Amino acid sequence: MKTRTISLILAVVVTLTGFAWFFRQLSFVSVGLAANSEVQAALRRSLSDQKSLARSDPSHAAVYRQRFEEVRLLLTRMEILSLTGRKLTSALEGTLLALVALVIASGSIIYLIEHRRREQRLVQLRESLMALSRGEPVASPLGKRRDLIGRISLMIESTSNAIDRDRRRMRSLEHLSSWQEAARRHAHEIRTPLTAARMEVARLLSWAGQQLPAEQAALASAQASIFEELERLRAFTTAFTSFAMLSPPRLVPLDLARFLEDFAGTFASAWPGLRLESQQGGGRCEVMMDANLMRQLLVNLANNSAQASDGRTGLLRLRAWREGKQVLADVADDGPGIPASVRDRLFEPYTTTRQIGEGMGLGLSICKKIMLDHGGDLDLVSSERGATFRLTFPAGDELRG
Amino acid sequence: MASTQVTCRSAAIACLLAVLGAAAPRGDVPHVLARPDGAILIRLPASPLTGDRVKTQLRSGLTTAFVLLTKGRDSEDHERKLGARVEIRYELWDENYIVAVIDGTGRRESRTIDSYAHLVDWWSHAPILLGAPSPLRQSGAVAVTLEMVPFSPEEEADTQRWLAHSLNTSSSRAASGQGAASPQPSEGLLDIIIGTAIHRQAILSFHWDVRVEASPPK
Repeated sequence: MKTRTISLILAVVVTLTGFAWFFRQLSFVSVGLAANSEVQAALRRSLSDQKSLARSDPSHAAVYRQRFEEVRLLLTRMEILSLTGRKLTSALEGTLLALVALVIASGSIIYLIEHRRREQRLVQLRESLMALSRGEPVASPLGKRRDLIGRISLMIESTSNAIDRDRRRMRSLEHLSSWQEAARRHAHEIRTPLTAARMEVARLLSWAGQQLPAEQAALASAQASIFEELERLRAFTTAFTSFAMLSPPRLVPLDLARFLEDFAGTFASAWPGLRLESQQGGGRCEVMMDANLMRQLLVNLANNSAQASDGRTGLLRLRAWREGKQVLADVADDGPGIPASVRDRLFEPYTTTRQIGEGMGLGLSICKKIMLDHGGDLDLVSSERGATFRLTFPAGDELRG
Repeated sequence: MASTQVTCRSAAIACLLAVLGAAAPRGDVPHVLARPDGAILIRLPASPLTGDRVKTQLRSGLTTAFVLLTKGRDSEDHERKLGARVEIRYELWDENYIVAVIDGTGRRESRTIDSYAHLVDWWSHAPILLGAPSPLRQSGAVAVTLEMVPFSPEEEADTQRWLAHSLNTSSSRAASGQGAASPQPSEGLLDIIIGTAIHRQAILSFHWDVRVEASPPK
């Protein structure tokens, strides 16, 4: 038998014994008072007095007789109480003892059942912790009970979610970092020969102009054409560079809702055919962010929406709100939306729905990197119409503690 | 032939004597008498009334009942039981004893006796009819039991009502803080406890083994 059970039984026995002893003292006193011989003697004296009074004052004999009968009745009851007092005490004791025993027994049974349940839940909790230590996702295994174990379970679930979220962020960051490194090398490898080629072409065309004065016009045209292509290559490497050399954010506390509202006002006419609309969200939306990078992110998203609208008038809605320890913002357009075929790799570099030569497919990767560098994330969320991107920030007050 | 056994829960000495089978005087036993007309009577000894506890009980003002039960065998050797009851109440105002005898045929006879000495005298001389005609065998052995019950059913019911009312009223007052009595959940349980505890029960018992004697004619 476990020590806990023995302790419980001992506690019950001690409680019952203590209660029985206490009540015995109490009931002896109460019954003793009821059947007290001095009380009875006093009542008998009162009877005798009534009789004496009746004899000395016969005119009021009926009154004294009535009083006598009242006292006699009381005396009779006292006599019966003194005869049955011990039995009455025992019955009261027994009943109360049974009631107390019932209460204690019920409490003990409930305690034992609860203890067994708690043990089972602790086993589940331990399994959750083991799963967490193995890096596996943990769903709250202990239902919705809000007791201590339930709260610990929810904390484990919350920790598991946070770890999972961080892990995904780290994977995305590592993935984008490797792409950034590749882009940086490509830019470098292209930019160096590109500069040399430009200089050699200029020198060649200059020499050709001296040798063939009659062909000046043709040579100028060829030069313009070659320089245009070289300029395209330079722009290509510049895009690479901007992705590869993305600066780390300089975080300052800002109200995201206010920022979105300002952005919608400032860039209201930046995209012909795209109307920007800022909507009121809810709660404090303070976040730690780099305004320049965030502006770049919003411009990228707005560019995509404007290009996807294909000449039609479109609407881009911006909305920020507080949700728990996070601040969220949706950037939603009413365009054709994202094709299902590219959704899974939407944020990977060089993923684009445009024709070859119309874009590098780096814009959303840059946006993703910016959000990850802010300690948040960028996701595509499902919507009835158009494309909706959700920006997730840790709330500013949570970051500051 | 006859022996007297006195049992009393509180009187340890009497119990000891009974256990040891202390012999009682020959005259201190009941006489079961078979009359020529077929009736059977019993004449009780004075000893049950002379003990201190009985005297105190008789003077209490309660209606003390002496329940008499005889067991014997008839001519066909079947067990037969006969009984009677004597109720004695000391009237505190008039200072006399009101005695009622309910004999074996159910007939009730009351009388007033003015003193304890006369009561004992009446008790030890008045024959009580157990049955007529007698079902008991002549000269057969008879077991006689006399039990003293300290109060009557009416007094029992009155005390139960009074105590239940007092406790309920006080608990109601305590609960409501007012004088008005209202039913409490515990009242039923309390009534049961009171009803079980305040209950008539013999507090003294006397037992004799005697033989049926032939009685002289009236």
